[in-house]
Amino acid sequence: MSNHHDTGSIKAYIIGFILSIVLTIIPLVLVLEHLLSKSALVVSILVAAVLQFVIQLFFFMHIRDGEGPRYNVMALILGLVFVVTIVAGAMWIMSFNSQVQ
Amino acid sequence: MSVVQEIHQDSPSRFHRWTKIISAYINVTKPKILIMLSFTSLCAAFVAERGVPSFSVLFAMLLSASLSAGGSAAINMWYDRDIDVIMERTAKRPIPSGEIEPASVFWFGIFLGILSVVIAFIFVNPLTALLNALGYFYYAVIYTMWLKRRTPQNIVIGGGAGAFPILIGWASVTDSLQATAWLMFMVIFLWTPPHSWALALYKNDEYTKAGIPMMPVVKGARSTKIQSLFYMVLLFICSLVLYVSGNFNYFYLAGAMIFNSALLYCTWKMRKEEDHQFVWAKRTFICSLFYILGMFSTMVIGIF
Repeated sequence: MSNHHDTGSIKAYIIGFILSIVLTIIPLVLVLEHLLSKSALVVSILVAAVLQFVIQLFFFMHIRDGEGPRYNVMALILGLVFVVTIVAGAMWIMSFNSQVQ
Repeated sequence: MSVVQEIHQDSPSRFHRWTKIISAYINVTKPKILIMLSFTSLCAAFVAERGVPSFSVLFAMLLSASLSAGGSAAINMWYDRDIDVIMERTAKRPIPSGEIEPASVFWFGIFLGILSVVIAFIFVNPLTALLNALGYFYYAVIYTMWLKRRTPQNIVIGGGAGAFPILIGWASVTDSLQATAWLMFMVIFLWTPPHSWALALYKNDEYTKAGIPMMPVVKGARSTKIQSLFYMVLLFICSLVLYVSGNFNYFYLAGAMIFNSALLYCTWKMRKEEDHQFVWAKRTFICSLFYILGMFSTMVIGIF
C-alpha cells in the first residue's frame, strides 16, 4: 500500500481509472443502444473486457515492477492456461445442453 | 453503376453460401468430440514428457490427431447417413439436412485420414503415424461399419477408438508406449460405457426407431444401469492404479477421488432411479463431461 517509489503512480492510477471507466461505458452503450448484431456485440464486449484486464495489470497491479518480472509472467501464463481451460471447458460442456433437454 | 449494385447484392449471398459450406465441412468432423479428443491427446503428451513438450511436436501431433479423428468422423457421418435421418438428435447433421453431398463427405474423410498419417510420419514419428492410421480404422471401420449396428457391446469395444488420442499424444513424445499410457487409455475406455449408456437410456426411443442395438434397446434399462455401475467401479480402480503407475503428486490423487466419487455417485443414483425417469441419467451424462475435463487437467497438474 505504501509503496511509493514510483513517482508517476498517481498519474498512472488516474489514467488507468479513466481508461477503465471508458472501457466500461463503451459496452454499456453498445448494449443499451442496440448498435450491433449479437455476435459482433459479444466480440466487442469481450475485447473491452480483455483490454480492461490488461489495463488493470499495468496501471494498478504493476506487472512491470519488482525484481523478478519473469515470475510474474510465468504466473500470468499459468493463470491464463487455467482461465482458458475453465472457460473453454465450461463452454464445451454447455454445448451439450441441447442433448439433455 | 448497375454492375456495382449487382456485386453488392451478390456478395453477401455468396459469402453466406461459402460460410455454410465451410461450416458443413467442419460439422462432419464432429467438432465437439474432436475438442475432447485433442484435449486428451494434449494431456497425454504433457504426462509423457513430465513437463512441457516442444511446441513443434505438440503442434504436429495435435494436427495429425485432429485430422485422423475428424476424418474418421466424416466417414462415420457418410456411413450413418441412413440412420441419422431417423434420429432426432442427428437429423440436423450436414448430410441428412442436405447441406452437403454424401460423396463429398466420404472423399473429405479419406483425404483427412491420409493427410493425418503423412503429417505424423514426416513431422512426428512412424509410431504416431501408425497409431493415427489404426485409430482412424478403428473408428471408421471397426466401430462404425462393423460393431455399431450388430452388437450391444458396440460402444464398449468402440470406446477404444475414443481412447486412441491418448496413445497418439504419448507416442509423439516418447516414440514408445509405457504402462501409464495404457492406463490413461483405459480411463477413456472404461469411461465410455457409463457416458454413452447414460445418453442411450434417455434417447432409447430414437435408437430403437433407428434399429441400433444399443444396450438399453437390447437388454433394457435395468441391465444397462447395472453394467454402467460395473464399468464405473473398474474406472475408479483404474484411476487409482494410474496414480501409482504414473508417479503423480497428491493433486492428481485428490482430483481422481473427487471426480470418480462424483461420477460413481451419479451412476449409483441412476441405478436407483425408476426406469421411466431420466433425471440421474442426464446428470450422469453431464457429470461424465466434467469427469474427462477434470481428470485430465489434474493429471497434467499432477506431474509437476
